[in-house]
Amino acid sequence: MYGEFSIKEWLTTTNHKRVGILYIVTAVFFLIVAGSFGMLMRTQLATPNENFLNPFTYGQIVTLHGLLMILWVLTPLGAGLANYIVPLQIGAKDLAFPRLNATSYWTYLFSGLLLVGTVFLPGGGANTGWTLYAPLNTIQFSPQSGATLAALALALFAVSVTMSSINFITTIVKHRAKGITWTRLPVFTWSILMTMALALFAFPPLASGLLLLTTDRILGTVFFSSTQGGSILWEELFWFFGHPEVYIVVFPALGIIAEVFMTFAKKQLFAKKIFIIEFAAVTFLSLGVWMHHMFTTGVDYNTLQVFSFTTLAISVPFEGLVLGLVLTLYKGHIKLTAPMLYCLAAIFTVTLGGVTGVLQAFPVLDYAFNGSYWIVGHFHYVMAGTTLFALIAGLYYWWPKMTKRKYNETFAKITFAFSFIGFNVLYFPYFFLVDMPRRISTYTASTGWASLNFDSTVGAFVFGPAILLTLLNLILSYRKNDACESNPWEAKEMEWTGNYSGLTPEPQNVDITNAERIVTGSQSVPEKSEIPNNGDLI
Amino acid sequence: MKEDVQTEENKSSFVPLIIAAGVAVLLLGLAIYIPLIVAGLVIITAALFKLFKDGASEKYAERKQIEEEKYPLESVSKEKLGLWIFLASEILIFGSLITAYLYVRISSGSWPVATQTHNVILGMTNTIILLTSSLTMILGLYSIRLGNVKGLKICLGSTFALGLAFLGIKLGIEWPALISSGFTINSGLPASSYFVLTGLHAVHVAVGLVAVGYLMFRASMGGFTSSKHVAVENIGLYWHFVDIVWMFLFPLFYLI
Repeated sequence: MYGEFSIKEWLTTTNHKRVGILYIVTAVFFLIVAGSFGMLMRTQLATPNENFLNPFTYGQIVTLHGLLMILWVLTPLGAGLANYIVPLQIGAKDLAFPRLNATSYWTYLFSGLLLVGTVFLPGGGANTGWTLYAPLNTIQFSPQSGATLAALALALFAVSVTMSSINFITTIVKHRAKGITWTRLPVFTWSILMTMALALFAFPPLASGLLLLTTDRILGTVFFSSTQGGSILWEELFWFFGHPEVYIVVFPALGIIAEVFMTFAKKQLFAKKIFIIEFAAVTFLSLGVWMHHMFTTGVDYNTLQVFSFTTLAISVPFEGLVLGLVLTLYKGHIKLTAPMLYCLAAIFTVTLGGVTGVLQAFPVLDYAFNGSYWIVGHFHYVMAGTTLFALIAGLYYWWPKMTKRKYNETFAKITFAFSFIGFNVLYFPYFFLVDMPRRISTYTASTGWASLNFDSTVGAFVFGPAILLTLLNLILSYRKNDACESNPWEAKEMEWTGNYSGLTPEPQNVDITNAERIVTGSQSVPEKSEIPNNGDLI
Repeated sequence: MKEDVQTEENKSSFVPLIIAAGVAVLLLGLAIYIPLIVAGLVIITAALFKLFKDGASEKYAERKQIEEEKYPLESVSKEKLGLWIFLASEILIFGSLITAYLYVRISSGSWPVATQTHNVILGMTNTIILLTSSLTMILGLYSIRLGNVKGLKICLGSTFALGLAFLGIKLGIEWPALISSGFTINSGLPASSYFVLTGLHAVHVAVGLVAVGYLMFRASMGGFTSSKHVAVENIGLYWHFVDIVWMFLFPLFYLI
């Protein structure tokens, strides 16, 4: 179906579908690399006084696991799906700047390879944790050149994301087909627009911070080694990026969940306009909460109060988003397919991850939880739970669109069960390890952490293989040689129907009084799409 | 379908891969082995030449698009919108660097008197030079709008010369004087912040010079007419942005 497979075509492609697939394949590659690092960490922590990894290696693996998972896996996996789906949803021929899109992809790939490559350098890579805190990141405490290369790789990644932001925002603003007005814009495309707008604000400050770090390390400037700059300067720059980054990875996930719920509950999204307004509110507020990562750095009382308030405030529209998704299911004709199951699991994990997160808005609780495994549990529920589950759901959901193949549904449900159980066995014990510090490479038996850690490791060895089998299911279905129909889910969204005409009446607003109404969507699907892009070009 | 395949081939390009590889080699050079920097720069330059050639031949020019919704930006070309968004990211880069500078300066307590450290006369001269280069840039745009190609060439030439003069004064006179007086990049936060911020600005001027050079090359090939000069306007926007950044850096470092 790819015609004759030609390496040259893949190396030189600027087509959004191909670039999207390159993104997905590369992100999955980094997922396997970073996941293996996670398994190594869990192996090391399974029993007390373990010597499987030495502390320096463990530190490097912690750092790479965090950086790769958040930046090189979750962000690009969303971007890859967006690359493929967004132009189809809005009826554009391609992204606004196809060559820029290809450049984004290749810089992303090379930045990841540089980062992973640091472990092979003499002296190793960064062992600072993914936050690269100063002054641990300075030449005095991390003299190895691998740490410099890691910072540069991260900066290159920031450039790649910024190029993507420019491309997607321009495309969505300028290349919507006739009829795709802002009110008809599909919710996944909305989520990508918000993601990219947020990335545009978040990544440049990170790049600035990394520029200062690199000049410190190479040219001998003193931003992070001096007491006047130092750790607080780095934390301000890093967390101004770091907190929005959470939403940058979660937004595409929410968009996918919305699409999947609409399709498999046969309903319109509950109160779409309010949903979009809540998206925008989260986007805006997320730029003003970064200080809650710094409550323990001695910030003054007023700052504490302000950022405690904004952190509570952002949870309101965010819970609104989750509520909107749940109400979409209300009285729907629910079909429990594999993508639907993953999305329901994502709702479960975002609830648990969100509740455990919002507790940190209270400084007094933050003092208690800061730097403990409670925090690790919280953000793994949000990142590995919600985001990864939703992205897998997105892969399943759009797999027939991308490959014309249907995966094995039974196999998919079995792997789902294992990954969901494995996930909870892996991360739920962390909520009881409130006194165990993050990033320690081993612990003694007298701490009493051993049994919970062992449970967690057992969960890891269920979760990891289950994710691998999920991927295997997709790959096996691709090798099978029977094409499925073009819209197997009977979905109503434009990327499936190819109906951009704008002639169908806009769906009525669904409010609480008529939430039970099943909106059947457009009745008149044209026999043949007018948009050339909707054919299989892959 | 055959036509589609052909356009696919026409649209494919090795340039993205080569640029990314060049940047990766450059970064490896910065971190590990200095000579690789040269190799990286050579690769990037080669790719840029190809890019300029493609740009001049308009091989990738947009085919006619289907009817589109563009609200609320109907009158803005997509290139210009893309550039605006790029400039927004640049504002955030310089904005966060300036904030970092103000942060370290405020938390330092004592800071050397600006007018004693820096040569205000040279700084002022450079400010005037850069402002004038913006003027010549906009005059060039007005010339080509009237179809005056010769005027455009003269204006672009002046912009290029003024930009070069700016870099010459900064890198050739100011920096050597500062360094010989002991104000070196590793002599503390005042020097660190000065060299990093004005250095990054100088890099932006240099990139602008490359872009203006590209415009000059295209103008000399007869690539611009009164109806076709998007690149002049867009590169002009970038040039003015770099100019405006200097309007912030000059008072922050030379006057207060």
